[in-house]
Amino acid sequence: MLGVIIGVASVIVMVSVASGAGQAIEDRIKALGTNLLVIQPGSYTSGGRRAGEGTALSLSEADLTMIRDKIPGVAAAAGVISGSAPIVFGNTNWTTSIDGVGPDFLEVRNWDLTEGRDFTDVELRSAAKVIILGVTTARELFGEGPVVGQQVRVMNVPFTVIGLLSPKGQSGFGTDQDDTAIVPVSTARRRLFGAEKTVPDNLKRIMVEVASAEEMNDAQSDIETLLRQRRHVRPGGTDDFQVRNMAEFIRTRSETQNILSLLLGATAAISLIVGGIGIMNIMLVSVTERTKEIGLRMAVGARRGDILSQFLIEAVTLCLTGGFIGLVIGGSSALALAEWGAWPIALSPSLVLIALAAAGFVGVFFGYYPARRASLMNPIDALRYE
Amino acid sequence: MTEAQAQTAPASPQIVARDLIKTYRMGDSIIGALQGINVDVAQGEYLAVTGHSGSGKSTFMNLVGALDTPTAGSLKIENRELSGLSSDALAQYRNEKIGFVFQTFNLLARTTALDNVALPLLYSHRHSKVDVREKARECLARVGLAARERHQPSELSGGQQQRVAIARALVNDPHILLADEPTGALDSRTTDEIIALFEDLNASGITVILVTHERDIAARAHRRITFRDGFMVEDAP
Repeated sequence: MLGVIIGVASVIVMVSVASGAGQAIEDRIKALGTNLLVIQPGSYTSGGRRAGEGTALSLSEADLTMIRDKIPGVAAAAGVISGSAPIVFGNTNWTTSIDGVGPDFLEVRNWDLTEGRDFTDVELRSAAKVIILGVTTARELFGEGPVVGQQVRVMNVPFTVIGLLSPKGQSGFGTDQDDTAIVPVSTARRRLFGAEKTVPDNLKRIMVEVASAEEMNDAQSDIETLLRQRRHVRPGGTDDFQVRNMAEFIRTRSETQNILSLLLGATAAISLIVGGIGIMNIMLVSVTERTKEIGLRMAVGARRGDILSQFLIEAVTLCLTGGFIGLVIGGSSALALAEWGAWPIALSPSLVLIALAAAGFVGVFFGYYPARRASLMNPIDALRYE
Repeated sequence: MTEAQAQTAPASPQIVARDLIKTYRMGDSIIGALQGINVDVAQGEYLAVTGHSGSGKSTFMNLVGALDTPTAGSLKIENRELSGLSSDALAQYRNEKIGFVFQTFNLLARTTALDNVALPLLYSHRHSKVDVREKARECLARVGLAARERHQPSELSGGQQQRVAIARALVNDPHILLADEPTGALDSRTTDEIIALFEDLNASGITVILVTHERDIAARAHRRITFRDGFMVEDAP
């Protein structure tokens, strides 16, 4: 009984803690941008000379709208114009990368603000002179002083700082992601880096967040097909754009998940086997203690099957009762852990059902041997047993 | 079963044992508990089986009750050979034809007298729940314990416990009542009551086989057979 209680309780606690941990790990990997596709123009070829990446015809706001509306599985998409420029505050200045961004940028990058606010729709449309700084940029300009509300200048255009991005640390490739600043895309286009004549609503990059990892490949090939049509790439011709994904991260993530589920399975199986062996011992002791009763029941007409089912039912009842108590103990300690340990817990109804079903199965599986032993006793030996 | 029915029963004896042998293996030696028993018991007899301990009298009773199987020889009960039957068929035979009474009562602890009496009916599958209660109550009344049906064995005296055990033996209308030293754990006054109860039951037509080593109890039976070292040495009316 105690064996199954501890078994089921530990299964519940471990599985909910581990799947909570799994979720936390997944969240963190997601924050790295696993489901992110980055689209850039490819290289421009002129008279045999191939220019570098991003030199082909720019992407546009129209491309962005089409991707957002027509491609299944796209959760959010944001266009970016980027450049690099010194930001001046009083007598200090700091040169950093400045991204002109669209409405969904922070969502696509999984980025929060620690202070201030995001751009409003009006600011995004009207090329407002507002800027949000990364923490590195802010520290270089203001030291420990206040950030939001300060006036800075970029290429002689005055900007008001309206927000501070939360620290993101290094990217997977060693660059400091906090050494940045963002402005509305229209501001970047009109006031900082200039519009192109060929593509009026130009974008340098489009970042797409796909809803789930499973849809990554489909979304990527759909986007490629769409852009080939829009940019008139002949069938069999070379794409003049690139869609990049985070394949490395995706692989890491699925490996992590596999390892976690393996860990969970092993933990649950071991706990249940231990609990089951406990039940088997209890049943064996019970069968031995009640040998005389078994003999008597046989003497008054119990068949082998009657004895077998009696002890099987007892084992299953024992396991289910133990399972239920274990469920209560395990569930409440998991919740307590979530409350005071600040550890993410995932306790699902299906987990509860699985735990109870497993307890019942353990009862049948480990109860069968003692029950069979009871049923195979010789009536007279059982009756005479002292 | 009434006396009239007993007289119309088939002429062949109810129990026919021929060259009945039972041996036990104990380590390297083989012990002959029964070494060729030939005996007939008619329907409605009141038979006492006597002998010293180890004489084979209990082994004989266990074979008749199908708790044990003979090593060799033939044992026919109501024209049916027991030795070839499956364990389930033997269980059914014990359930329907035999009532057992043991020296140590063998009642289930923490179970009321009524439920103890009803136990054989659980395994006969012939009765509904209401019938089971009715039948068990009837049998308790027959042994004079109608007022004690809610009591557990630990709350009953030895004589009362043995009465509950007898009621349990009667509950499925057995043809043969087998009692192994039923009074061995009782004082002399209760012994008289229990033996009187057996005589009543025998008078109603049930074959009663009483294993005992007490001479005065054996003397009250209609027929006595005596065992010694696995052989039957005396068969006296």
